[in-house]
Amino acid sequence: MRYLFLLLTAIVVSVFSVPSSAQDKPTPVYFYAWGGNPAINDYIRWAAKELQPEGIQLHHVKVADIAEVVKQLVDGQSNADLVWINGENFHALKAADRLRAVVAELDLDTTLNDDLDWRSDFGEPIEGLEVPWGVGQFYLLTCQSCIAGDQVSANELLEYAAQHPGRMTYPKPPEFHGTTFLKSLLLSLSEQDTAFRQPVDAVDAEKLTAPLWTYLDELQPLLWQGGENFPSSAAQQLNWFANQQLDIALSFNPNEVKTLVNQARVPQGTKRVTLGEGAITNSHYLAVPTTSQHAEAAQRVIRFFLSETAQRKKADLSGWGDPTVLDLELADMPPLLPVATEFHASWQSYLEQQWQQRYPR
Amino acid sequence: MATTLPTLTMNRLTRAGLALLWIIVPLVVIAWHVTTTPLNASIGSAWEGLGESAWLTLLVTVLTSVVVLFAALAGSRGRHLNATWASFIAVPHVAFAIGLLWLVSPSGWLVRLVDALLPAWQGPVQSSWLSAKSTLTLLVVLILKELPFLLLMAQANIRQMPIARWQQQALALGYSQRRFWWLIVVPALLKPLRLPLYIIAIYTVSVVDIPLLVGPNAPALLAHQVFELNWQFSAGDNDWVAWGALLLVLLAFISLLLLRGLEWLLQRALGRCAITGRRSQSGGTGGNASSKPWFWTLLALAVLTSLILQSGQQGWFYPALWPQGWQWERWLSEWPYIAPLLYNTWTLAVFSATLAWLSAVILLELQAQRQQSKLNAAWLIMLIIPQLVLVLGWQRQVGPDNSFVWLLWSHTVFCFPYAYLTLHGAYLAYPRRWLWQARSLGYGPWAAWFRVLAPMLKRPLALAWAMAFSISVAQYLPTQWLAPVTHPTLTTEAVSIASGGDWRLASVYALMQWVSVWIIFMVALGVTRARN
Repeated sequence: MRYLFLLLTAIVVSVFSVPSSAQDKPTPVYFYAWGGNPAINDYIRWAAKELQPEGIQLHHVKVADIAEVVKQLVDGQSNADLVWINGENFHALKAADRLRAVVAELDLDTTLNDDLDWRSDFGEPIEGLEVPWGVGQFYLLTCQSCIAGDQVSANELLEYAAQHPGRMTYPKPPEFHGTTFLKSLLLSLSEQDTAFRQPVDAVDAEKLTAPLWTYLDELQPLLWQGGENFPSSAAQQLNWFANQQLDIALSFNPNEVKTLVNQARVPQGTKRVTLGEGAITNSHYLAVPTTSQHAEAAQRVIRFFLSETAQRKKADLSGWGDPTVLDLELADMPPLLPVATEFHASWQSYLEQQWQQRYPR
Repeated sequence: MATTLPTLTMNRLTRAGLALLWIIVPLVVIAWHVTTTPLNASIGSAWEGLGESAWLTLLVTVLTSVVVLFAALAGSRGRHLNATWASFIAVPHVAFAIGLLWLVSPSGWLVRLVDALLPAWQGPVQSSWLSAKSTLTLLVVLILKELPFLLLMAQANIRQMPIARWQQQALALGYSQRRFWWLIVVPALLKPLRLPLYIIAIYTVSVVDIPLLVGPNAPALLAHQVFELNWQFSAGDNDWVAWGALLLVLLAFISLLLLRGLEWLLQRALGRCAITGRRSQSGGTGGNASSKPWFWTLLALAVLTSLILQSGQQGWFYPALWPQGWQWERWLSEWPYIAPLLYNTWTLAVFSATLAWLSAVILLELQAQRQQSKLNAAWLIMLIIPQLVLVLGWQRQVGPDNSFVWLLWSHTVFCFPYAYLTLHGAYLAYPRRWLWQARSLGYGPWAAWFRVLAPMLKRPLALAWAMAFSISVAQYLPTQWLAPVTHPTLTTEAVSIASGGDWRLASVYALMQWVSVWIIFMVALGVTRARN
């Protein structure tokens, strides 16, 4: 009996002594972010190393599609402390009231580059719920002897496809490169970009998108494998492009044309071509869910990611090469492409659904 | 004192306990989830969206199973199992797919070789033939990967048949080797192969990681589509997932019925042939190409080589036959990130393999004591239910709660039936009189087991553990859905990187996955051979 008592005491003591030793332990921050790009993963690894002395253990939880986490957050069963989102995923989280108002707490307004129009994410005011991290611009990668010039209209692209059948494709929507490809075509075909900044319900979407479906019907048989299969991701398409199975690949990072050559992912001589008059441009953001168990540490991570050091490292062309959101002068950065405004977020699912109804699932 | 280890009540209790742990609880969780979840979407709209995928899945499943069955029947003529087979079976699917693709894809190494040899020929292959996204590629990967399993099972059964006596009689009656094989051995083989074949079919119905890498996506296979729909956050998608899961169960059932029907037809057809009594003098002893061990060795080596070269290349674009640059430092710089994954994978696999193995051994010991010499198929039920449905149900019920125990349990549920399946033949055929003799010489029940049975059955025992280990290493869905945050493994990472398109990095992880399993098999085979 005495031994039992001693044992119980020992257990109780050891249980209560845990919190005191936990103070020395680093605070974990579970960062849910798309894990499909090794250069980005490497950058997050670097950040994790830099944050260690600050007592933060940054865990990159690699997801194939951040929608996965959005769903868990809306259902209220996620341990995410920090998420990397934009567009429809932000909308869903904002609508479900799942994000903390971090911008005010971090007091970042003054350092961010105001030319970027970061206060609106796919036409939706961010209302302080997310912090811009980087800039995306949509364009095509092509080889020197493939598409001529640095700009191609939708109709010129169709002509090219007719001359070179089977050499072109796009990732299957709802993959976001694929959906943005549709948007770019639509912008180029309609020559009016203002209506798409409004919600789908506010305009005559069917009429506005009609030219796109006519166009895609013509393009479909000219696509790789006659449009019977699509790449699952932009990365997959990139591999086929690199091995001469395709003449175009899609990118959402204006500097990727350089970084990919540096990483030997694509051959020398790969160049960038804007689809339409401008590159669809948006920002991608960091946000802290209301359910975060380590919200304070997550905010410190955001502060670090927006520091000059971290932003310079992010823009480094030997690594990720993502444009900065700060007002910084960076050497040997290719200039941003001419800007086309991103569609309102509601178009995302509208286009995806319409596409899926028309083309094989 | 009884001749057996535990008493009869203990016996029942133990079996009940094992059934509860590895079969009843997993099923109850699913049943609970199904009965408490209302479905809003109508089956009509779900069928509209999923129907095409369902047909494709059925086609792929039936084709894979039928080709594998015939190849195995034709291929197991007079061949012997060796270590190459075992280690080939152990190659994780993902590693195999990644390596194979590099060889056969339209801009893969073999096409480059043709290109180099025929200068007149222009550019990579343009057709969908074996492209990284096609039904055909998926079929090839699945068939090549499943065939050794069925061959192994066929071999195990053939060894228990009085083949030599049958052959003598058949040849004396003037039957050719070929007719002897198809008219006498095959009919006897079909029944014991039924269950392994069903396992292959069900695996094909619900496999997700392979279609993610090489399968078609317009439409995708049903399991692949359900897996992706499960990411989406609208309520409609959720109902589709539920319907998709139900549809998977239905497909599983239909494909089993079809295979059963095929077996029946085959038996009849062979029977008819036999009745005619025709004999022919032609037909030598030559086996099928797929049965030649060198074919597998060559394939395994080619896949391995391509993985190794990929893991070190820096720039290797079409039509180069050899990498344009190297970067072996990738291994060094990646190592700090591989190490924790290796640790996760190994701990999980060692614990779940040990649990599964112990359960299988206990169960078989009890069966042997009750003098049941046959496999009890009820213990394999978890392999006859599509895995996606099971894991989806668990995930929905418990959430991605990330606890190790929960994950370990889910792995063991799938390792256990394989351990049981691999071990049952040797264990139940073991002549128990050795144990009785040991007991009569004064050994206790435990000593008799450890000092007489275990040394005699060490190889099957070791292989069963290795098999369970390799099953755990290859698990994708349970890890990905139940504990993606706290326990990423080599497999989840390899799939994630490969779908990110960087084959160089994916090869590093695939190789680590392969090496893990290979080491275990070699140790299992080596240790048991050394003491012989």
